[in-house]
Amino acid sequence: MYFGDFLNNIGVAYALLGAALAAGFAGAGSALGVGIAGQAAAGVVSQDPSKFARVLVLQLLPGTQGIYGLLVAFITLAKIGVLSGNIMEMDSRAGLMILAACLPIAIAGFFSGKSQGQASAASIGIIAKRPEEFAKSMIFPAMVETYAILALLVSILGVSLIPV
Amino acid sequence: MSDERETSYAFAVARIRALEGNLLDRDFLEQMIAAKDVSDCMQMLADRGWGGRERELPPEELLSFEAERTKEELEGLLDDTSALEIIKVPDLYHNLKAAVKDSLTQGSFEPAYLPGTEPSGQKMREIILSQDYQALPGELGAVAKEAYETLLHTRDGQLCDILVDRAALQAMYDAAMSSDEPVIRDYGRTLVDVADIRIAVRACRTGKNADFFRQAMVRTESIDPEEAAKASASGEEALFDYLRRTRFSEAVDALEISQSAFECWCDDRVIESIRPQLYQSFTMGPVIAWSIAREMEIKTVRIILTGKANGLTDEAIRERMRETYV
Repeated sequence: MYFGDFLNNIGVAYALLGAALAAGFAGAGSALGVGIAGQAAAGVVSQDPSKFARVLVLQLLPGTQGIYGLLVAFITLAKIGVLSGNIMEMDSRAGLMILAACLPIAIAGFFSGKSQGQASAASIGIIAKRPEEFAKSMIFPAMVETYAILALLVSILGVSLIPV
Repeated sequence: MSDERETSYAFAVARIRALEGNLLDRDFLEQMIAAKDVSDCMQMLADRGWGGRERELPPEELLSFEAERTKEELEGLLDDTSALEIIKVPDLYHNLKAAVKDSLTQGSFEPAYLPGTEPSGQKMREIILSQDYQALPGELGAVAKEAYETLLHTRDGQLCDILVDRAALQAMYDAAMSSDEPVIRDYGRTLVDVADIRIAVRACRTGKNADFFRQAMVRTESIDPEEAAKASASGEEALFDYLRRTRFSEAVDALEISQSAFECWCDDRVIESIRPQLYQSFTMGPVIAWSIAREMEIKTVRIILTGKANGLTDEAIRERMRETYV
């Protein structure tokens, strides 16, 4: 392959990088968030095991960003033909556009995952003291989810609508 | 604050939130006050899990058991308990006082050493007897030497107590001011300020001179022993005027009601200083605040049990009740 051909097809590499960032950063945010909330959940269960189910729900909330990142990565991989085994040729312009479309969920997924973990940990404190306020305690971390969903929408729309 | 520090207390704080549910609230304490006698109170405490499986403990042993349980919980929750040094200071200096007296009276004085200090009371006694004061950590050696020599030459036990008590207050103030934890700073400052006010008022009422104020009180950001001594020389009203000019004007209002109202105010100030920790999720603050709240809770239960044992009226006990943390 000539260098000129390589440059003409480097777009696939950019798109792959976008998929990797979407899955990697959003997943890392979720891992941090679930880890923080998990520490708090373990603290409550160590004193009161009967609250296990409630704190588990709160611990899992920050896990969604990782799923969103994975979803965007799948759409991207399908778009460039990696899943079907027929990797398409793509110029750098189209590849960079897909990379840019993947960034919202990568960035928002990372920060919202971690922040949602902190909000969940604080809400687990509510469950520890007032288990009857479970519904209210869910709302605070759920608010953080809004911004991950907005980023997911932008990423899906971007990746899907970019012509290749 | 670093990310690691932000979240490293998530487990401990969540556990503490669960434990806060076991703290005795005002309603429960009211029920204890309304109970017929001490045995009813003890039954109520046993039903709340006090004493664990040792349900037949006498009152004083029950309180010691609960204090020990708090200490064990803290040590299990925190890898580094150096932040809790301030809480250990009173016990450490109490043991020092007992060790100084014990080493001079050679057994005729029955020392009441408290457990859990480092070095222990017995160890401090040995060090004092061997005059190897450098073996004591930090300022403790110098304080032990001064207290021992003062007691040896003057045989004035009260003067010895004043020296050690002041050193304890100074140690607490220094620990508070050098701490990175806001809750420790607020707690230590409040505790020392309140102790200063208590000393100043007692000294004024018993007609002590300015030297006593200098010997017994600690200079803090809020209270100046010199100013307090000057005011006290002109009488109680002048001392009250001085206190009104500090951030502790409410102390004067309490003092004007009664001595027990003032004692309540002192403990309530401590509780107020830790109450913001109820809303923290990722710092060591709630853990420390819970341990202080437990200490105050045990103190309140002791007041109720003592009141019941001595036949005090419900109203008299209620007057001595402290604010609760939850």
